[in-house]
Amino acid sequence: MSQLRIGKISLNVQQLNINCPDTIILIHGLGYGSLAMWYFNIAPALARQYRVVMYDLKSHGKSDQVQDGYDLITLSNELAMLMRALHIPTASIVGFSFGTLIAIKFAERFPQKVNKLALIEAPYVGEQHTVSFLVNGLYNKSAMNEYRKTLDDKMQRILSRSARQIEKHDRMFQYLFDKSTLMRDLLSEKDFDDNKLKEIDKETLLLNGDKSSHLPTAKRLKSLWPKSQIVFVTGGHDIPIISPDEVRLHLEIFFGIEVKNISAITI
Amino acid sequence: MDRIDNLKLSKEEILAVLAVIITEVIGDAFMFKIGEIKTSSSFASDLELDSIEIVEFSEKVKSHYGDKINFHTWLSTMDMEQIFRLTVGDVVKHIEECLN
Repeated sequence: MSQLRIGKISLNVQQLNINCPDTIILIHGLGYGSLAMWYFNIAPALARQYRVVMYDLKSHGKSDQVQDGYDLITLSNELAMLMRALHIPTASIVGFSFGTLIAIKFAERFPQKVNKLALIEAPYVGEQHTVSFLVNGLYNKSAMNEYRKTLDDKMQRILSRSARQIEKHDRMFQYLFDKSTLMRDLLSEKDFDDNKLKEIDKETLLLNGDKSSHLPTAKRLKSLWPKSQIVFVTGGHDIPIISPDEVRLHLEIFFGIEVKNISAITI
Repeated sequence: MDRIDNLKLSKEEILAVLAVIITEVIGDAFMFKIGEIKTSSSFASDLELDSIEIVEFSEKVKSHYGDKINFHTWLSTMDMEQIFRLTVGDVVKHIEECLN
């Protein structure tokens, strides 16, 4: 694993095909997320034609635990610092869930650094449902167990964890919700301004689960962005984990990568 | 760990290298609890690795054996459930086939 110093924090970063001039940066979601969600399937496929950069958000995966700075401005600043540290002037950004919000904020603030956007299951920033899910769902162990029951069979199997893993993730959630400013930062985050969003004039793929509740956000973004398209993938919110092959295929098409069987890929 | 360039490694030699790597990933305390790493040890149920630890394992294996074993490519042919079901013996077999 490669640790990269970004200001005062150290982030876990993985790269593939680093000599390629065109770059795609992958940003995971909150909670159970880490760069592992891209590493095994999606990143190798994209790396056939692009330099691929994956990183663990702070307090996730193998990155440093960090007490504060979970607002979108700080997180998008850290993405800019990451690009500077890796000498990447421009990149396409792929985000999942909360990672899409970082990607949107980044594109709003640093449009000259963004080529294309692919937003997988973008939630609505400031949406009470999203925040209350985090507060009442992930924060509370019994509610989290209830949440797990709502997931489909495959997701439940993937998330079924050993005692060591449960303990490890409980420690992470406890840190995020008890000791960091994550909740305060999420709750004080304002919705994006439509006029500012309209200025993000990028070719954009809006990838949504056909059983997900986040379609209204994709429709809103589609109405603001003429160069965007909505594409559906089988599943709910967790499509990169439930349907990685479908997600990979749509990303390959969007980024103009010749579609191949995954077994034919050599990294 | 130092990268190696020699070929023709035995199963036992590969297993010994993987045991060192796995111990680095899961830590001495948990290693002490599970006792011994065997070819039958599975990633999820025995070693209790989660996905980010499997990434760490993969990167260490790549770093040790280099490009000859196409380890990341091999993993990319599987879905997450298949990867969690892998055993250390599956990895030993793959490395042995690539190197020998």
